[in-house]
Order: sequence, then C-alpha cells, then structure tokens
Amino acid sequence: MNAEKLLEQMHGLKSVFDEKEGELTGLDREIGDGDHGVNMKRGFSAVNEKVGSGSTQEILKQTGMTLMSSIGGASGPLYGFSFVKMSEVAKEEINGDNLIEMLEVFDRTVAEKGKVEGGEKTMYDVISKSADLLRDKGSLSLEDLQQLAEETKDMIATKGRAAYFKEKSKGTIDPGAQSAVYIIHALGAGVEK
Amino acid sequence: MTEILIISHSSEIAQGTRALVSQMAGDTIIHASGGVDGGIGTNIDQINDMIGKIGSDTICFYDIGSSRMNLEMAVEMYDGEHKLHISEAPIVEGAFLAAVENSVGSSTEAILEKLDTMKK
Repeated sequence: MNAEKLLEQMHGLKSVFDEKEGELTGLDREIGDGDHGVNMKRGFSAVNEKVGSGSTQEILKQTGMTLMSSIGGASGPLYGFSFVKMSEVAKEEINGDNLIEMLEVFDRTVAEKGKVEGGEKTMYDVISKSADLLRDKGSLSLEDLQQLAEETKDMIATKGRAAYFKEKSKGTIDPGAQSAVYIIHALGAGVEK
Repeated sequence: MTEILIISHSSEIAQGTRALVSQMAGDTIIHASGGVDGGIGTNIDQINDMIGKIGSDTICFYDIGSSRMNLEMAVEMYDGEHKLHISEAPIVEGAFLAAVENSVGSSTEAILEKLDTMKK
C-alpha cells in the first residue's frame, strides 16, 4: 500500500462509519453511553475533510492528530495516538511485514495508554490479535476480523463504561472492538503477507 | 521556578483551583484548562495549547479518567526544552502544595518528592 492508497482508505472510513453509525450506537446503548457511533462518524468526517496527501507517515500522523482532537472520551485519544505512533514506523510502501510492525505498535500503544489487557472486552481484543491474524492468514479479511469482535460478546467488561454493567455486559459485542474491525480492515486493504 | 499545569474535565474546577492556589502563591505561573466546547471533558488540543506556553519545568495535575490519558499523550509528544512531570496527587491539594513550595523556593525535585506522599 502506497501513500495514495492509504489516503484513499483513510478518507474511505468516513463512508464506512456513516454506514455503521447506527450499528455502533446500538452496541454502545446496550453497554455504554451510546455515543460511539456518533463519535467515530465525527472523527472520520474530520479526517476526510482535513487530511491531505503526503507521505504515508504524514497521512498517518495527520489522521491521528485529527482523531485525537475530534473524538471525545477514551476511544478518540487511543485511536488517534496509535495512528501517531504507527506513523513513526510506517514505510513509504506498506507491505505485509511493515503492517505487522505497525499493528504491534498499535497493540503496545493501546495497552500502555489504555492500561488494558486481553479479555477485558475492549477494542484491544481485536487490535492485539490482528498482527497474528495477518501472520497466520496472510491478509486481514473482514470476516476474520469480525470473528475477533464476536469473541468479545461473551466477555465481561472490566474496563471503560461497560465495566459498570458487569455481568450484564455479556451478550453484546464491545462497540470499540467493532470499530477496531473497520479501522484495521482499512489499514490492511490490499496488503498481503 | 517551577510552573504548574492543571487539566480538568470541568472549566470551573480548573479555574477555581487556579484562583484558590493563586491566593497563596501569586507569583507561581499556573496554566489551567478544563471542559470541552462549553461542556464536560478534556481534549489533547487544550493540553497542547497550555504546554506550548510553558517557560520552565512544569508539574502537571489532572482530575479523573481520560484527562490522565490525554495528559500522558501530550507529554509524550512534547519535544520542547523543558521537563514535564505528571503528578498523581489530588488536583486541588497537589497544585496548592506545589505552588506554595515553589513560592518559598523549593526545587522541582523537592516539590515532586513532597507530592509523592499525597494520594488521590
């Protein structure tokens, strides 16, 4: 994936989140404060509007900074800062190996800044398994990523707003895990290991 | 001289803390900001704005939840010449102690040591 394709993918996430707003809002109404759909939509509308062409590093950094300032709560800063950190390792042509490296940075950033580990029913449950998914399967298909999000359904949340629901958080996919599916899918488009 | 930075979810908490602290330590530089778009929240931009204005080593205080995360990220992205320290002390008491200590001439390190004994 070169810079042009990356920009197209980042801009394209606007229409993805326009379409998925209702789905994410529905999940977040079940086990959160109901604003995740609107937040993601707002964030990527801003990315679509503000991020212009440049190197892959510049595009990722601008995307991150835009997400950090336009999405409230924890998800915007976490996604945003992860993009900023991923920009530091991105090559001008993002191939499978480079994407694995980026996804590992994504994993570390969210773990460290969100103080989260696997199994807590968060975006991290998708992010932390995506590098291995790419290694094993050779690409990041929507179906495989969705499977990772589905696995959060039976988890009990111990982080974020959903943690207040304790046992009642079971049975719903974590909204952050669901949005991570779309973001990682966009990063992996056309990249093969 | 050490400067103080306060980030809160609420504009009133940020400004109120600054007013309270300034009463005792009027010569200490205090950067304070809180709330987003007239409502409750924190955001990286407002922290970056404050960090852009610091003139010496600074101790930063935060209130709850995502304000710490935003503060950590802003501090990590800072590439200026001054040292930024994040204190885990409660926002009002911590800022108060730091400002008073600063006004009586304590070093940044000495202030940080005292702050370490305070718990949220």
